[in-house]
Amino acid sequence: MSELAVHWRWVAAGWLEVVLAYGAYAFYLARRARRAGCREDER
Amino acid sequence: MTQRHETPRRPLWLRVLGLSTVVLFAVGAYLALVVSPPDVNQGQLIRMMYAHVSVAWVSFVAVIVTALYGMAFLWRGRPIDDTRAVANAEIATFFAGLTLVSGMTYSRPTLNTWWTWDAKLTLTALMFALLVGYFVVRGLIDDPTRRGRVSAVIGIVVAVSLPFNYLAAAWFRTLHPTLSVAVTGVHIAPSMLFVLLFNVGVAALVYLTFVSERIRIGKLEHQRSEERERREEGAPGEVVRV
Repeated sequence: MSELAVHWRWVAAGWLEVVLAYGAYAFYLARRARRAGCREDER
Repeated sequence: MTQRHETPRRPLWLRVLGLSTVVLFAVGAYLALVVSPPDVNQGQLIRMMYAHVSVAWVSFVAVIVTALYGMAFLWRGRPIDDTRAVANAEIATFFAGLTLVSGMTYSRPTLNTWWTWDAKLTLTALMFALLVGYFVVRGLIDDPTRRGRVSAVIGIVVAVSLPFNYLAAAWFRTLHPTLSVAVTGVHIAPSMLFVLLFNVGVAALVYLTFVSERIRIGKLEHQRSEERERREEGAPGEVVRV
């Protein structure tokens, strides 16, 4: 594999981890917002 | 029994902010991956710098805002300041963690190592550890006022470490590159500076979106816990409809 291809793989990995982290945190916030809309009622 | 309630809708401004952030993130990524010229030393690897530096700077901002709301809580004692401080601390932890991970991915191909106990890296790891400690300590204290006070002090301690973290790259010339953008001058090509500042702006928008949503959730959770407390207080004489 050429040096250029290796560099681009690292660049893709660096950006992908940022995108995945943002996505994961947004997903966590969405779940937590849904949970905050619930409450436990005693019977 | 768990009863489902309608979650209040996100306000329109927050939805618009979220959507704008996604669009601008795509523009920032295009600028970094396509428009930015390659670096004379690092070649194409410089494109990772835009992602890494922007999340690192925003983690600093989140820590400063955590400390400011912590100070406000110590001064006025209003629960909303604690809610805002916690929201910022959570996002500061997220960005500090991402700074460490993206820094390692950037460091491996450029400096030939994943990690070294360089002053700046160590201080960033310490900042992350203190932020994790912030939440560990919060989990150990039941009284909300005491919990808010203790965590406010931790938030301030983390903020005090920031100037040392920022200047460590200039004071200790080891593996981490020195400051490209400093008060004393800018040592980066204008075309790259524009792309960097654009991506920092986008990361700041991501922070604003996340923190606004996290504060909204914090307020909802506070409201729910107050409702629960009221129900528990009135429970003995109350006729509960099922």
